[in-house]
Amino acid sequence: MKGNNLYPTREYCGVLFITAASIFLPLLCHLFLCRFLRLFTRPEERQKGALLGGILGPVPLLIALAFWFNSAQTLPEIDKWFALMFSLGVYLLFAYTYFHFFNMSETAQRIRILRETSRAPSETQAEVEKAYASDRMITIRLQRLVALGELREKQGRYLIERGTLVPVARVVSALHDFIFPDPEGLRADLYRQP
Amino acid sequence: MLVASALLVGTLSFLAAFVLHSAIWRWKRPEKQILWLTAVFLILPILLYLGIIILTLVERQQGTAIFFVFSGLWHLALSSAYIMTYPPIQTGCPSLNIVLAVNSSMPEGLSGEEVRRIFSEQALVSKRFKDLTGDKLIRMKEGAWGLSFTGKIISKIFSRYRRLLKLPPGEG
Repeated sequence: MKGNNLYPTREYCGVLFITAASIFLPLLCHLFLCRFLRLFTRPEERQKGALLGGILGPVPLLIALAFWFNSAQTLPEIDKWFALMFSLGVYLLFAYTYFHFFNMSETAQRIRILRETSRAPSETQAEVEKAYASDRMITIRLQRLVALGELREKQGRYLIERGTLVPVARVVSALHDFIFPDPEGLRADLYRQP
Repeated sequence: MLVASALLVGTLSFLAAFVLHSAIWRWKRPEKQILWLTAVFLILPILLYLGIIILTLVERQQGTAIFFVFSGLWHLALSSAYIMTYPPIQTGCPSLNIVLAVNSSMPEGLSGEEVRRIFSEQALVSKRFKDLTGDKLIRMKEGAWGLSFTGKIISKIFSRYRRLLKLPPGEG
């Protein structure tokens, strides 16, 4: 690694700056859709809005990267392509992080418990919990999954439609089993015993 | 091949944090899990990266400093994504469990009632409550459950974020 004036510091700093700035694009795009255009405001379609925000973000990023690619004359060609991959990879990971952050604000029970507890401190755990009708929680989730196109409803039954969440669910389940190697743990808690 | 090498180093540092996290969880699962996750994946590695970057800049090794900025940013991106994935890993995600249950029941699918029967009433809320007390986000004070200081900050962040989007609070 060089430490002299001929090192293409400016070119590397350029792509680092574009990448760091792109981290805010999912939020900005989502804000534009939600706050200014007032799209995707219904409860069952809000996750679509957050997803679309992440999908729109690469547009300005790719334009900036195209300018950078053409102007970074002193960098080796292969490093320029790796820098592009790096920038897009960082963007995708932060877009994924943003989507989860939005999803937590929308669907996480723990966040709702925090909000309800801050409004009205409760004397017992039962009082905190009684604010939540589990039937309603399941109904909302089914509506969201149908709105996202993951499930479809036919004659009162729910069927897999797109199935893109199936491998995601399997990965999450496998990670859980790896990090919490306790067969009596989550599954015993989550599922009713026969 | 600076960027390619930096991607490799950033990935290796993330994997090292993941191995440490798994080892700690298996040895003795900590109570404040989110705090430990933040320390293992973010605070310690970022301090290490910052230290190296500052040292290399002091020694006028620009190339090395830039290398570690690329690595650090890649590590940060991977770690942020993992930390946000952790809550469904920790307690299960009802939506993902619904998808798995419906998938395993194909081609007949499941009725709404059959989906509801999958979940234990207690698990949906009680476990979340237990996680919040474990993470010290809610606590008993003067005979009532209320938010801790950290719990209040987290609640405010989400509340202001929803107002920024001009959306009502999520239903959970």
